[in-house]
Amino acid sequence: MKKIGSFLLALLLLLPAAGLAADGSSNVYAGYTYDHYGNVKSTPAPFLLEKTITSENLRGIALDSVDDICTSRDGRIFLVDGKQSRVHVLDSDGNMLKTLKTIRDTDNKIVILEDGSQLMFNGCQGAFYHEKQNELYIADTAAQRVVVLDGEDYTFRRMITRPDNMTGVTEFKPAKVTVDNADRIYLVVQSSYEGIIELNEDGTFSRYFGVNEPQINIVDYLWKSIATDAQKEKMGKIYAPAFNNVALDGEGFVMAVTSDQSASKPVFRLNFQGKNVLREMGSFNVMGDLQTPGESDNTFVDIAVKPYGTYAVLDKAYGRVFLYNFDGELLSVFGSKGNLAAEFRIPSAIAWLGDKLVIGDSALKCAYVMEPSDFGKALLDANEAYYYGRWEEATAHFERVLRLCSNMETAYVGIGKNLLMQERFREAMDYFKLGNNREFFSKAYKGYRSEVLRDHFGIIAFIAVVLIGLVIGSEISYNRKQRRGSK
Amino acid sequence: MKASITKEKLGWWGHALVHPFDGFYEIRFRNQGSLLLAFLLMIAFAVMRCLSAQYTGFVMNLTNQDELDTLSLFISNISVLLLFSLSNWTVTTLFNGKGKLSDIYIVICYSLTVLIIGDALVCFVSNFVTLEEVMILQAVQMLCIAWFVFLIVAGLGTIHEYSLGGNLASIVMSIAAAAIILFIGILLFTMLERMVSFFTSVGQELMRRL
Repeated sequence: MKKIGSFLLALLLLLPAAGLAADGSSNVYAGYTYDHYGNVKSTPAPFLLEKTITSENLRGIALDSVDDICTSRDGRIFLVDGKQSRVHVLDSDGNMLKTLKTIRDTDNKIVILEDGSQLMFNGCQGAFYHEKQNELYIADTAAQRVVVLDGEDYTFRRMITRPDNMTGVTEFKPAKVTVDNADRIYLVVQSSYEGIIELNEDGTFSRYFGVNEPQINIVDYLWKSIATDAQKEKMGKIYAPAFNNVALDGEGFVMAVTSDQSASKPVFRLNFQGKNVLREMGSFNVMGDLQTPGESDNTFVDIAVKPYGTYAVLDKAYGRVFLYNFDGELLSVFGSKGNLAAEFRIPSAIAWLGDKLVIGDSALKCAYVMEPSDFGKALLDANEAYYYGRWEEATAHFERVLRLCSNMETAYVGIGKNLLMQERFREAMDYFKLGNNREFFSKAYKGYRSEVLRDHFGIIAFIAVVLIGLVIGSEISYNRKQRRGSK
Repeated sequence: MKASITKEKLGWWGHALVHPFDGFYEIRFRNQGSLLLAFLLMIAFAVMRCLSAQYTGFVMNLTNQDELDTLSLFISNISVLLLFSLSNWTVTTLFNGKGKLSDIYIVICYSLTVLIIGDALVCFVSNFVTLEEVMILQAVQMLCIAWFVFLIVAGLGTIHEYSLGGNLASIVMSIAAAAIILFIGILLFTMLERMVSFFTSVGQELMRRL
């Protein structure tokens, strides 16, 4: 009887462990990554659903779409609803603070435009919270303007319309907006092939920025080289692909995603010249899923970057979120399409809220607030500490990662790099081998080899001297024999 | 006595590696080749390939050790050699080649010696190099492959008494022939498989109904 009792107790203890997804092991919340050889390796889910924001959170105001999400550092969430032309402001717990449609000035009067109409959002699709000036930028797409509001009381500050000195054929229909530390404004116009519109602080046109390099196709090139001018005229031009979304990373670089087929890469990190300086130090380039025959590519619609360079890219095609560190190493992938909680239909926007992720779905008309699991927290902490050069702390976090998931090659490499810096070459080699990083293994091995050579210099030098002596000796005796023979 | 290994034959083996025209002439027309030695070299080559897949230093070794299948690596290496011998023989018998199947086999396997030595050297040294020094080992590897190709071309040309152009054409055609043999082989196996599954299902039906 006692035995049966303890058996039942054991069963009871086992049950919740199998049922709860606290460790992220249940199906919906599973994650994966790729190893060095391109095999899918499962990981625990890095993020778990904390709560869902729907129109219920908005005191009944209809939420018809979530086109963009941005957050402020103090934890406010801004949801942009392009269909209702509203911007909702929520606190970090999902409670509504304010909803914006008509814009008021500081005297609480509705702003009246020059033509006498009230200033109302019209098909707004993007928002950006500019921490430096405490300003909220709203890309009011259909109205062809950017509205700048005060970050505290959401009163009208200014409006940016099409600059007079703007060149090119791109229509001024800003869909996404980002402002950098020098207050330059970057506007993404959907299906623009001229690049991101960069405006100066005062709203004048500066240039087209980050012209997306089109892939050069050798077949096209051959055809063009033999075609006559008249034929070329008919072939139509190949334009640069269009960006879907932009974000600003911690160092002030503009990160942009594109899903255009002709783009050479899906993710860009643009320096001030507009050149792509994305770090791609992982086993594979930053490309989302590795291509498998018969499956279409990922369609990246949004990107969210942490101050320490870890970024999440949102894929519309499969409803997946790809987590990369600043080196471009894939950390983990999670999310799927479906009808269960935290599954997507048409994911549209993603933003960091501290260590949490806010992901919007325009078909489900909701936003998920997802908090990092133990595993996800360890990943974020490790990469943060590593980025800021706190090696000891990073190692501790990487060890935490490995306890939860031994498939993480980046964690082994992270520990190895720390050991390498401490000149513990032999241990570093083991970790680099586990992390399948030949470049750093080689560095560690170089150190180890010179250590061994130094320690055993006497014996090695002795062997070398003996060998050289033998060779010289045999040459001399051979020559003597030859001479004797010739005599 | 083609199978036996004598001291003289070993001498000609060594000679053929550095003087292929001369050496393979002796092997072909003065009967100085050894089938047994050729067979041993083939086995040694396949074993060396497996060894280098497993024991090449981590810096140079790009095979996934978790998925390494030594047996299939061994068999595939050997079957490529046998397939090429066979296809070269089928082509050259049609185009006045003087070499017999055994001669072709001996030429190919003797030439492998260079690759065996190169593999062994690279496999051993690669355990003591850094990424920058891998270049040197790759150069050694390329050199071995170039020498191997030269031996094969020279050897086959000698035993078949071909001109250089005819020889190269016969080699290209034997590669094509190998592809055809493979195709027919795969066809045969799939047909056989279908036949077997057909008869087994007929048998099962009979057993169920009777």
